[in-house]
Amino acid sequence: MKVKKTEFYLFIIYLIVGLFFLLGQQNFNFSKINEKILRFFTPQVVKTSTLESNLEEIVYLPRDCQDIILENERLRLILDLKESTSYKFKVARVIEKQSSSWFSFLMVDKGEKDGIKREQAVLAFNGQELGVLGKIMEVYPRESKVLLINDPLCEVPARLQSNRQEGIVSGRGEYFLEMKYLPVYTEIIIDDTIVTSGLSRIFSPGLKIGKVKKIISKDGLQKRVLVEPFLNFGQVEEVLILE
Amino acid sequence: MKKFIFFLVTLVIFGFFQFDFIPYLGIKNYFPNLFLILIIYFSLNSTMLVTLNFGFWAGLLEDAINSNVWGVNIILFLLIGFFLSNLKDKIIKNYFSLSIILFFASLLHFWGSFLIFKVFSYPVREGLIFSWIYPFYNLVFGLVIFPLIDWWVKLWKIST
Repeated sequence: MKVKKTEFYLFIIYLIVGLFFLLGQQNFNFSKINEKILRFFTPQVVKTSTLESNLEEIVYLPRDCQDIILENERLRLILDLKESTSYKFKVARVIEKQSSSWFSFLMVDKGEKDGIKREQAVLAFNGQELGVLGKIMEVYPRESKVLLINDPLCEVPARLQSNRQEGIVSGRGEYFLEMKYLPVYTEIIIDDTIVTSGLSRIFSPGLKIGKVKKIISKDGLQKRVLVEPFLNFGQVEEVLILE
Repeated sequence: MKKFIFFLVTLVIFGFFQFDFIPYLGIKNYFPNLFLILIIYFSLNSTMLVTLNFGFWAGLLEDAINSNVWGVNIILFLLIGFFLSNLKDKIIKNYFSLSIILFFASLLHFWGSFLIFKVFSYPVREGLIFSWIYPFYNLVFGLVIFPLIDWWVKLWKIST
């Protein structure tokens, strides 16, 4: 009976700690603990000093030539973009991709110390063109977590390129996205390009999101369409974080 | 001391599988939860003390890495562990009852998370039409993994 009491008290104490975490996370910054746990279970090359940067170069050396040529091409695109647009951005490398039953995100190797902040737009190249990948969800000292656009929590104000009709693009927790809140009278053209509308603090206007695949539903007030994302999330290696 | 090392090693091994291997096995973005299966195993086969300790620390790891909202999994793992531990003497242990427990505990975990996210105004995913995948996935994984956990515990020659 005494043991049962101890177990019950332990249950209550653990429960209170759980509640403290749940209620207190707005006031406390758990990002450093988060990062440490994350790094322990998913070890990566993390830049912490020049020495480690050198080590990283050595780690990357054995890659075959083709890999380096492709990377050069991607970096050249980024360099060209830097010279030709007014966008200010930081380039980061994808170091990890994670998914849970509730969230879909990836980690990049730039964080608080590189000036990254929450809610910054994250873009990536598909061939020669730039598209929306997601937004910064959490910032750690040397890394950041990017919420992908195919996550249901990620909503981006968008418009159809052909008729300029506005709507909201959000993830469905799978490969395809959906565009909702389109007025029921909107004329939908299959393969029409969807771009950001610029009606948010995060995403500049005109960035490619995807293409209309089909109409999912239309009720009395709105139409919803299935959207094929412009980017293949599995192929992204470098990202641009807009300032 | 041996028990403590067993506890740590088990958590770390399950952590590596959960965070490095399971993310490749998503169906419609639903993933099996090895920690939940572990909690169910210990709640049915060991003392309440062991279950609660596993529940708390496994919940903390899950919250830190996968959930982004600290406390959700700690609370749910503790509740599931606590109630199953109390019920374990009344449960006839066979594959059928184990399947039912795995299924309903997973449902409780999923909809419990959903409820906590809603109550605390965290945005939640909308496409829940495939949420049935989660309990079924855990059921299948659980039935496969339970004998492995059994073997792992026996390997350590400790009474949990």
